Amino acid sequence: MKDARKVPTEVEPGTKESAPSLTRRRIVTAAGAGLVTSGFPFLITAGKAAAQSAAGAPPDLAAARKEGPLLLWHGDQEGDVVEYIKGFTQKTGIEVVQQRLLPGAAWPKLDAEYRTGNSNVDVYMTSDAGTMDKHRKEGRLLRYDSPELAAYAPQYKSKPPGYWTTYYINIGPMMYDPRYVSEDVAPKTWMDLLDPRWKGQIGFQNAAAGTSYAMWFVLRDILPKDYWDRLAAQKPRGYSSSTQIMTDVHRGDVKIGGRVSNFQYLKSVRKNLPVKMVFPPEGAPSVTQPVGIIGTTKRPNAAKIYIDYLLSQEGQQKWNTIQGSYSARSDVNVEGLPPITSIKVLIPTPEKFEEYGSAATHAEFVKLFNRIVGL
Amino acid sequence: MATEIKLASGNAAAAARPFIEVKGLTAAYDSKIVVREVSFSVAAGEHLSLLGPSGCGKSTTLRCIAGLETPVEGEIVIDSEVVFSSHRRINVPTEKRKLSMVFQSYAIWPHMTVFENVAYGLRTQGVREDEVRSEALRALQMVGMVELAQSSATALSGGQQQRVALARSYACRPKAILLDEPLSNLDARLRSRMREEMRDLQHQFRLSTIYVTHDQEEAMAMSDRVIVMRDGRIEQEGPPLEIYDHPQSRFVADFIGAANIVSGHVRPHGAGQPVILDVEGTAIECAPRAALPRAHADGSHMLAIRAVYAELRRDAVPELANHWPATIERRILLGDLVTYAVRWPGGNLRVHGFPNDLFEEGSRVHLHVPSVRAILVDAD
Amino acid sequence: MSVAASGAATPLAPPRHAARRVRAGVWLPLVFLAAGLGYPLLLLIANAFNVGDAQALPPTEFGIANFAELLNHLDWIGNTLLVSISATILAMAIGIVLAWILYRTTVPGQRVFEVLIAIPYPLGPLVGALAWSALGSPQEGLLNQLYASLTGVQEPLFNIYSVPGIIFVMAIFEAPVAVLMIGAAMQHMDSALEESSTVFGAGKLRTAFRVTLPLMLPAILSAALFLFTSMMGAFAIPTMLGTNARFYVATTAIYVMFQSYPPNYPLAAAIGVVLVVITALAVWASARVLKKRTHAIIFGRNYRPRRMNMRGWTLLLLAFECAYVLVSLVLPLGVLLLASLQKSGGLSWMVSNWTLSNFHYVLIDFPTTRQAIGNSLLLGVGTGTLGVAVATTIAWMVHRSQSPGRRLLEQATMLPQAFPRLIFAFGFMWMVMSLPIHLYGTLYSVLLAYIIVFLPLAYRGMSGVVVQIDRSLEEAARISGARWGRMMRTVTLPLLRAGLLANWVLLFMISVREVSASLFLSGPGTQVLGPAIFSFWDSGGLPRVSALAVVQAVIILIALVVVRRLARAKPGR
Repeated sequence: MKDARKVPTEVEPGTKESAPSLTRRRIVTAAGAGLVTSGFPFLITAGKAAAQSAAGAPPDLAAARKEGPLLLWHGDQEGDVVEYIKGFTQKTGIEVVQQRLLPGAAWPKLDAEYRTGNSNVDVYMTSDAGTMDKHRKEGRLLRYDSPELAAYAPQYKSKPPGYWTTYYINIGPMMYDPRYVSEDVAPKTWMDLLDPRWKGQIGFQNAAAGTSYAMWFVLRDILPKDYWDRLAAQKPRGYSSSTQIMTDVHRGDVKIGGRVSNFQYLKSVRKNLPVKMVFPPEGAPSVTQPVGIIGTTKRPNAAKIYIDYLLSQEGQQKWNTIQGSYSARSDVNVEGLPPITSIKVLIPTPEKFEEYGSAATHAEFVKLFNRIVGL
Repeated sequence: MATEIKLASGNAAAAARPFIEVKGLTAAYDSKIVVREVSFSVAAGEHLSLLGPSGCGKSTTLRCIAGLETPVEGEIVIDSEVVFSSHRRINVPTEKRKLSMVFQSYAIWPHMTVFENVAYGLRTQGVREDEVRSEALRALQMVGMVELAQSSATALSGGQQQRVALARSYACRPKAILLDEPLSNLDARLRSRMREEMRDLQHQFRLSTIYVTHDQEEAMAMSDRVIVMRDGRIEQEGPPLEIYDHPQSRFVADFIGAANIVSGHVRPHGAGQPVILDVEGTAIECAPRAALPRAHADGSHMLAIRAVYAELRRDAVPELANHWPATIERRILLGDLVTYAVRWPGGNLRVHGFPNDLFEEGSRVHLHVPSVRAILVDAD
Repeated sequence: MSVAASGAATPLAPPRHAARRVRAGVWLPLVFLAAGLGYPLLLLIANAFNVGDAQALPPTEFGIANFAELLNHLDWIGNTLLVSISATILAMAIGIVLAWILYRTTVPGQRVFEVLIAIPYPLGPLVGALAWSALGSPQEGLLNQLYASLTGVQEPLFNIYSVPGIIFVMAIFEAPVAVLMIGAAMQHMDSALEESSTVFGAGKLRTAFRVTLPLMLPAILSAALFLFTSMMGAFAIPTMLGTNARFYVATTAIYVMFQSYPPNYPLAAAIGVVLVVITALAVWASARVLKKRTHAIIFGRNYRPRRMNMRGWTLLLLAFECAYVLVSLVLPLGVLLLASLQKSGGLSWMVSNWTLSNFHYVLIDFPTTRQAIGNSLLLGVGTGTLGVAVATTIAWMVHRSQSPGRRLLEQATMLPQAFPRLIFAFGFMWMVMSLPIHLYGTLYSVLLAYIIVFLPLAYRGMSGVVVQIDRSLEEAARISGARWGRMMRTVTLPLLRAGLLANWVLLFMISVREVSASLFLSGPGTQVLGPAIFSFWDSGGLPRVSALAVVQAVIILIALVVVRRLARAKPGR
């Protein structure tokens, strides 16, 4: 009698027994994905370990080109950055990949990447100078004494200099479209914003924006204590970007941009859209947007060359013309903008920097401003 | 007499070594037991039918043999190989049992041609392609479907699908063939024709066959042996005629053919004397039995009298036993048969007759039941 | 003759459970789902109770302060529920009527409308929100402008930046799902049930309400649940149409919280937990209701559903269908196309103001979008293939195998429904960040997230197809000697082909248009279309973002057309 020593239960299908044709397809797809992803930068960490260059060491262009594409984080208008880095790449031969990240997304990502030792970003251009300085104190920025630093006044550089530098000044006037708001009724001062006629018709960038934070930070000591509650009663709207504010302003859906990054002015003008800026006498809250190299960068040479160019006269002229903003260099002028000397620019002073950069102050602002825009 | 009948069961099945053996099979479905300790065997080349009403467990038994269901307990042996044993934890998967099956729905694969359907089993076995071709075409020829070999399977009628299913089961040289109510989806004429064809094929191939059906005509016409099942158990087992003539229980008597069931009390009798059943004062002499069947709680016994075996005469033949005057109450003409509702001293009886000799309603006749046709059966 | 089997008077003891091994096809997906869902959920819950450092992962101090804080913001939850419930009701209403017109009446054009009505869903809410903001913004919206020029009235006809606007847009872009699910049930209904209603004197409308609708209740409930859970996690439409109107739902609040510094993860996690609890409750409640009702939709064998001739009503019903196609397909695509051709911000019909430079920009110039398109295509193929493979295996295991644990598997497969996508995405992101293997920042993490998130949909589709295959077809193969693999390859999969294809394409399309699930997972190098369009909208202008949206729509439409061609070419079942 044949001994039937068979497997006690049904045949195990197992993943390996799945239909061969599907498996083939899957393999091909996975192989294709693998090829593509391995071709993509930043999916696998770049092989080269970065030699920690000394702070003053000048960058090596040939080495920079070999380091691979530079990863740049920023909070600006993506189109502007893309156009700018195209020029940079043409000039230096260094590839740049940009990623737009608002502070709330950027800083935690940086923290997480630091913690896991996985950091891949090289240069960060941000609107939050306070937090940038905090990171300097924590030793997370790479110091580089670019030769261009000489052209910058002390308030536009880190102390000690070399960690971060202002790559443009973001001044925040009010803006409106004269088609919908006539000049005589338009607000002239910050207190005018509290006029009931503007109820529901004012737009700000929401609490995520570093510029909104700076606005509150510098204005809160100048304006009355109850200003913010009264502003909340005006039910202003919170937008994700200044471009969005201006889109609605030009559509007539919102009447006043309460604080709009001034580069929007030239953008509207270039599109032949009527626009007016108002610089209130109390002052225009502004941000000195810093750029710095992240300490764990794997591409120090490329990063340094990037800083050099960005801070140079040529780079500043290019960048600020593309954006329509003010440079911190005195030898750079953008056509169509009122001279910076005619504006009362309000920026956080050095004594206040610690408070400006503290997470607690930030949190206080977020809570307040969310309430103001109705979140 | 019982032993005589046993030896008279046609083929060598009972004497020969069994080809398929089922021992103590118990199967459940959704935690309800549907097959209870069923044991039987099938000889090589024998055609066995599992007959019973729906829910009796016949299909489940068949599927257990096929390996499509896993029994809770029991043992199944096919061609000396234990394919299932709950004690020894053996369970050979379906695909290794080398059986064939014809499903109630035929299960013809719609995305293949007729030829591909039939060739499937052979190809799976890895047979050389030219051999596959010749075998498959031969099988198709035997069922008369070879012209449609290249047609898509979706274009076939029910009868054609059935034939293809048959060809498919024979083509792959199985050890045995299982059929699960293969004719129930066909209309009556096609059914009887297919029955004949299947019988022919069966004779040709001489494969062990297990045939599940609820139609007793099919079972009778095609089988060497019939197993009547009820509620998961075997009620009775034997060649068709034996079951027909000698039902053991009321259920079997009722299920096969048309039977009258009367109940009465057995008169005391000595050994060797004929058994007399007292039905409301009327005495019926019954066919002899080794032992009395199971009685009701009140001591009464059941008697089965087949409608075709009861005889109606115009004239009396008083020397016959079991002979009474009777009245025709109703007559129903069924075409080939005539059914009479007859009133006799023991109650009412249904009697079958032929249209060539009709009795009128209300007429007085004489009823005769041969004692060998008065079968005492187990009460429920 | 043998004696009848020993019919013991005492019944047999109940069968001891056959010690069957759980098949790999059952426990593997279970483990995968447990890990892929359970771990993010754990992280979410842990963070929701985090009262210490917001950035700590895992948290160290625990408390209920976040939920207390949430009490100050109940309007977020309230708004979410308001919008979800209202949009579900509206979408169901539209869906039921459309399904009824398509499958139970003799209104002409069924085949054409079937296709047109199905398109808005894969096109997606992003496209919808963009398009409708261009159509319905109070001053410059195309429709309002049209209205003003026709009637001379200065007040806009409507403002899409409002709660009704949000509900409307959400409903019309989710209605195709309702049509699909309810339509499937309607097609299989035994028309004799309706016919007997009319024989006994009930008119058509009465029959529709008294007979058809109640029979459809299981399918309706099932569809309503699916819609509700999707809408609870909806992000694109409420964000794009609501924030300007100071209307925030939970997902928008979470998004803004993530953008602000310092990001309030614990509060966001608390919101997430509340949302998950609500949707889980909804899933559980509907499962109970469905269990009570007989689930079986009556299947006929050779069955031709008889349709009702609507006579005088036909025109009205046709108009309804056309109106839906207009608002969900023609107008949105039209206005996006128009906007994408503009040189500057406004919407002008003058060809002199038109340009193709926006397309050039997004397709060629702008590296982010170029990359996003490529990645999305790749991801779509991956999601389609893997998703269908996993779903088919699970469907087969649940419906065709005897393996223990398959009921549990089915329930686990439907679990991702209870997890609003945005919430799942950031829980998943934390999980990925904390894993030792390098998954964070790769497309694989997005792929994994997509497969989990879309599994219920894929499973639904494949399960419906698997069930329809006659079991005996597979059994016949097994009897003929085929082992599991051969059986699947030669019998099951060919029979499933049409279903496989259809579901593959569905997965491809919805993965291309997905935003919420990939918003936090994609980043530099791993940009995908949905988040790319969204961030483009965040910082860009209407013409360019419209161009990108048009590109996305074209990809999806091409996929639709290709699959219809393929499905027709095969003599499929």
